[in-house]
Amino acid sequence: MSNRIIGLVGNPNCGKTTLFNRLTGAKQVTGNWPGVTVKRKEATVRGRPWTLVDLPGIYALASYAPEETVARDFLQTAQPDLILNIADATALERNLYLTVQLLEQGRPMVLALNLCDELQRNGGQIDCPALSRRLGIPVVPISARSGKNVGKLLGVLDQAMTLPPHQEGLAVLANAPAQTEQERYDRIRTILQGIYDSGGASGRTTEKIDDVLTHPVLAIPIFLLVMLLLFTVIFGPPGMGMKALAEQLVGQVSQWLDAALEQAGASWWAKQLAVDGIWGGVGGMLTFLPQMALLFLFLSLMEDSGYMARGAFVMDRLFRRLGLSGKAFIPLFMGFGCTTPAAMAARTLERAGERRRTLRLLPFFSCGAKLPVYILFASAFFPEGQSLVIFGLYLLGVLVGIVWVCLVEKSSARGADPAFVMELPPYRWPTLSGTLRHLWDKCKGFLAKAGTVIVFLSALIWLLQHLTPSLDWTKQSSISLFGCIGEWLAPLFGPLGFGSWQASVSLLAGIVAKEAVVSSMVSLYACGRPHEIAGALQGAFSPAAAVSFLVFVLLYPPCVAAMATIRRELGSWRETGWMMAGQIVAAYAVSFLAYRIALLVWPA
Amino acid sequence: MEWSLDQIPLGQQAVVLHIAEDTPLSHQLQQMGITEGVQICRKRQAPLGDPSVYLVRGSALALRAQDAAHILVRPLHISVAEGESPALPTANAFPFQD
Repeated sequence: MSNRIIGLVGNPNCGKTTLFNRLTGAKQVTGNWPGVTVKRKEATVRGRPWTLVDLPGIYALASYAPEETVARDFLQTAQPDLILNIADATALERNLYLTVQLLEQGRPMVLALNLCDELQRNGGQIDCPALSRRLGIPVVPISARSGKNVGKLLGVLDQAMTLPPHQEGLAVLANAPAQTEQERYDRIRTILQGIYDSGGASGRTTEKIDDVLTHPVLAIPIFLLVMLLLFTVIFGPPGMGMKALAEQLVGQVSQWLDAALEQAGASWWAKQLAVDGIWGGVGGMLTFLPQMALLFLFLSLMEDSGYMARGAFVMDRLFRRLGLSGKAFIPLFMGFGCTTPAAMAARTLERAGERRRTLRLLPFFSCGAKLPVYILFASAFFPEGQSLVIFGLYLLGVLVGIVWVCLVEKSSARGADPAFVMELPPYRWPTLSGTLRHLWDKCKGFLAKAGTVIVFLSALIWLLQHLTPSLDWTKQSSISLFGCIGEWLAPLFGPLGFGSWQASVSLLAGIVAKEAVVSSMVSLYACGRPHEIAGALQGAFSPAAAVSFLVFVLLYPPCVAAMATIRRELGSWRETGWMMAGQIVAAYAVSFLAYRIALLVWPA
Repeated sequence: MEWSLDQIPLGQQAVVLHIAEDTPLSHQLQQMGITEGVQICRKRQAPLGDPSVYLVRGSALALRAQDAAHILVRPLHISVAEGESPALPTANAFPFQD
């Protein structure tokens, strides 16, 4: 018999992804804000021949956001053998709304009541057998976080999958579906009458934390302080120390590789390709892994704790001026990590216009892969004010993005302000395993890129750098193929102060992956030796040109993966093309300005 | 005494009387639990004045004033002491109206 399908359905933020990981052992990422599961994910349940499909978190079977449509379409077209509905016991009334709607569809169902331990701590209680009788479906109290009762849930699922449960309550609800939201909530009141108490202490800790973090006066200073802390950790002694260590390791491997190849009697070009070409590129990128990991760790903690949703709440007023809501804060802030998942997270925005504006703004939120370029240049040219320079770049990106969206949106008609209805989830301690999983997921992506795209690109760049247009070997990269492409591009960048062929081709490589900017520079300026790159750059760039180059990297179009995702989300090649053209223009114009201004400070 | 939801003072408990009809927003609000007869509390305000957080059916919802203005409420005469969280509406605390 083929795999049978269980659909996992629940409200955003009720522990759905945690339960999914518990049941399947899959490495899925959760976040403590509405709408983490923007795409459908599936995996096999441990030791059972069932496929568990994790659907996006939804409040109801309506279609206000694309993610709700994903869930509804799945239930209607895929016809899962069983629905596993997970509900947050601490906000049961609201969670049961979806449950009742699902029951009205008349499909076999099991209800997992999550966070029962938290309910108990709040002083509340729930009579599960009674709830099961009233709903007419099996109800299992669980704690997805600690894994309590998950085994029992599996047993109940075993039963439900072999013989469909006798669901008399189901028939009642399915035969007379409620006509209005009001009616459905009235039914829920009746169902819960006398068997549920949410407990007086519910959310008290969250209230206390919110008293501080969303305080009328303190909220914004605290937010800025948190950002400052982030920058200090990443670019201050902790991050830079880790980077120095990574550089040492990469250097060691480089020497070791060189010696090993020497011993094996490798030819000149093989040794060069492996050590300077490939390892130079990959190693150059790996030295930035610690700082990237810190950035991702920080973003993951913000998501899991629930602070990200507060950011959305506090920022809503500012975002409204741009025709956005506070909800756009989440995908945009994620854009500081990586543009690709951030573009997918924009799906949680209900209105098409708001989604489009968010996607337009997103590439201006400097992604993590551009960070190595900033660190490299800032430490080479502005060692004193490193974090200030980098902070300034991030800020500039956001400002240019805002001006850009205002300009573009002025010309197209702007609809009414989108409505803003957002749940603020209770604060929860991020779990160690969850955080590590998050972090590993991101680092794995980075390492996978280093192992594939960057290996390929580094080899390609090395070849282009050592072959002349007539395909002869050369040690002089200026007459190589790369040199020729660069020479042709370079005059374009002359007015920006960095009209060298090396800079031009590095930028070109950055279109494939932003990490390739640094790896190309290492190979072009420092012959594949990462520790010499800073000195080499000081010789090749004037401080003003360095500023201009940084601004260009900040603003020019994102990598192909991000562009492809943005295109998919916008659903239009034309619009994406215009957007990227606009970014090139913006990058060129702002870099030019930055160069002219920087020349006043550091005359050439 | 009818108020629009965005007008009630912070910490004030109220009962929802009416929601402006048949817009996507009104359905969205009702699905999130803001239906007629439910008890709701305006808990806090964002630092820039808007939106506000409302507690309803055990969850905290952020709504903008312009959206909350579509909801008519009757304030309840429960004074909330400073610094103390008002009890959340539960099934028992608020009897079923029929």
